[in-house]
Amino acid sequence: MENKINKFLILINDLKDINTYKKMGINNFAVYLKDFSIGYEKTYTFKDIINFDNVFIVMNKILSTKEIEEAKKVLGNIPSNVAGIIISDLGLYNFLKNKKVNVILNLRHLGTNSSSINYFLKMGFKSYILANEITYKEIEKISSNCIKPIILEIFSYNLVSYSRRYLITNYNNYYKENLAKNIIIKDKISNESFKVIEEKENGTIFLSDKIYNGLKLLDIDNVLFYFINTSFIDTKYIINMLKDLKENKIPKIPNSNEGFLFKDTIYKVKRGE
Amino acid sequence: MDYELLIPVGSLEKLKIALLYGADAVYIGGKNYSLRANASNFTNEEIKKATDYVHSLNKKIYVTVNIVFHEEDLKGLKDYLIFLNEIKIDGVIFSDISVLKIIKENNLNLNMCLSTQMSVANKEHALFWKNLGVKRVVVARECNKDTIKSIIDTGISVEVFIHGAMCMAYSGQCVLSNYCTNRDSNRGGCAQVCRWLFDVNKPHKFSIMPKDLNMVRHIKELMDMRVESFKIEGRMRSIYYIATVTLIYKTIMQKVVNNTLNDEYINYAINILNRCANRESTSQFFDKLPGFNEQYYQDRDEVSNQDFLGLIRSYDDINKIITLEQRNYFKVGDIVQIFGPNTETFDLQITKIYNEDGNLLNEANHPQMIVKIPCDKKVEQFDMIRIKIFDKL
Repeated sequence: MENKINKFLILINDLKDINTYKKMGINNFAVYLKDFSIGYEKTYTFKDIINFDNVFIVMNKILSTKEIEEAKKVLGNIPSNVAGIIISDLGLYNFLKNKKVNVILNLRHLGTNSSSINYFLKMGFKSYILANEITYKEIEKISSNCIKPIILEIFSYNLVSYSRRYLITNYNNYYKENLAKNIIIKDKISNESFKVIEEKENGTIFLSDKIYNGLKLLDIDNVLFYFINTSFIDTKYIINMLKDLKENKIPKIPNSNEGFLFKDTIYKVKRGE
Repeated sequence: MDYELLIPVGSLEKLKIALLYGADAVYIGGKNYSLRANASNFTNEEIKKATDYVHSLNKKIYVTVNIVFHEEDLKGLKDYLIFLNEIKIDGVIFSDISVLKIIKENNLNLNMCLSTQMSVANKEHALFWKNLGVKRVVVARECNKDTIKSIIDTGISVEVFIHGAMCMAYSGQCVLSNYCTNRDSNRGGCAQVCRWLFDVNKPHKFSIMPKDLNMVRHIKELMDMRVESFKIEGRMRSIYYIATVTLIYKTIMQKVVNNTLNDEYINYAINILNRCANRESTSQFFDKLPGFNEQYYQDRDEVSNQDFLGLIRSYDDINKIITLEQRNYFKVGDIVQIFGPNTETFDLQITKIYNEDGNLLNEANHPQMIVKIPCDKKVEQFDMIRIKIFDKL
């Protein structure tokens, strides 16, 4: 398990946690970049992380033309402690390809086949983060077909939906209510619930209300990083999970499931359904 | 500049209606690879037939190949694209770069149009695809007018949705359907979970349902900005919806060119469009961020619209009799409206109804029954009859 832990990339919320994780053998970290991220618990600037080595920057927001120009200014001078940039908007590619920095692509739900992923990898992306809505078998096949090591998300509250609308504010304004900017919504029929978070300047983000436990993916090869997104997860769950892994125990994760790892999605409905 | 009014069609009948009512181009889905997996869609033979027909009218046809492919879905894609190339469709609408890869590797002469599924919301993103040979981009529906202008300035052809259903989220960025129903939203199985209501431990349920998009008030602005393609949403819509929406937007575009568009017509158009879709609509993101006015909050009963009364099959000029195919109930005494691509809208009171044998009836009450009604004004095949709700202009 030690060689696997070496490949963990942890997206952290509190910079103080870096030392805790380092003591556990983890040396790869990521943070959300201020003004260019969504689904965050905390964001940081380059200045905030200047004293930390080997940090990846996440810029996962869909950007307007104005925001792209602002991003170019911020990325004009990328500090040497930045190990790479994880982007979700292809509008940043042309600017970043000429910079001496590793660029990783995360198109979220669109990372579902090796043909597409390889096309991007051939363009020069360092790696690619696969979607979370595909099965273990699909992931296994994709990663064996990819020309470079890929990144697998193994632990997180999955991002389920990303809207530019301010859905909580709109609800409050319509009904003269006072819902907080971070709520849980539930559908009684499917029994699914979601964290709904309204972010200033971004809109509304939906996260799964169960922790995604993709630890079985640690068996998959051709992986650059196993990605752990700690946003909204109590640090103690992460620490306990890592301790169990190091001791070759199966971690018990409360309020979690394995997502779509062993559940095929359908898209053609039979008549009468 | 040539502007293109682009209409979605789910069958050959709808295709013919769309073109008759003013579409400059249509877009269709095949049996596979399209984001309306549960629509009837076109077989390969039907795509060929449709292409030949569209081209005989000097119009254009695009085929959607816009799903996000899983590994197993790629099987057959190359052969399909080669087939589309051979029958010379005018372009493919895609979101997965695998489609572009196959087109380029096989030197296919297919124009590539990037789907709104990729959420192109800035000019640099548009340039990324332009550099890869993509000819046209369907911009994200979240783009405001400044962003649309900046994308047009890159020189890439720009297509903008002007009417129809909206997603709550950025297209391609929502898998609520996957979680709640196991139906894959990015492969055509979206169960439209954004139209559900959710519990939040408050007296009122939490709604995330958007109203429809309606750009009637901004068509001139979009034309002035040099948007090339004006896209309607709705491959699963009825022929009545297609005819109504196509005719209204075609008329607006013609009035813009002729400088005869006025507020009176705009208001009339909005009333007609909202009525035929049975939904309210707004311009959503075009000139501001949407607030609660751009959403629905009550539990809506989407009762299907009964306004469409009949499709005209023929007109007997000598006896002044319309033969029509009934689509909803009507009776003697009803006041209806007749409209068509070349027929100025007019009102008619139903004075008599005959069946095919010439017998008098009080009502037309069977779906698709053939009936005859007197009408002094000349009408044409494929004109339509609806309930009169709004005064004609």
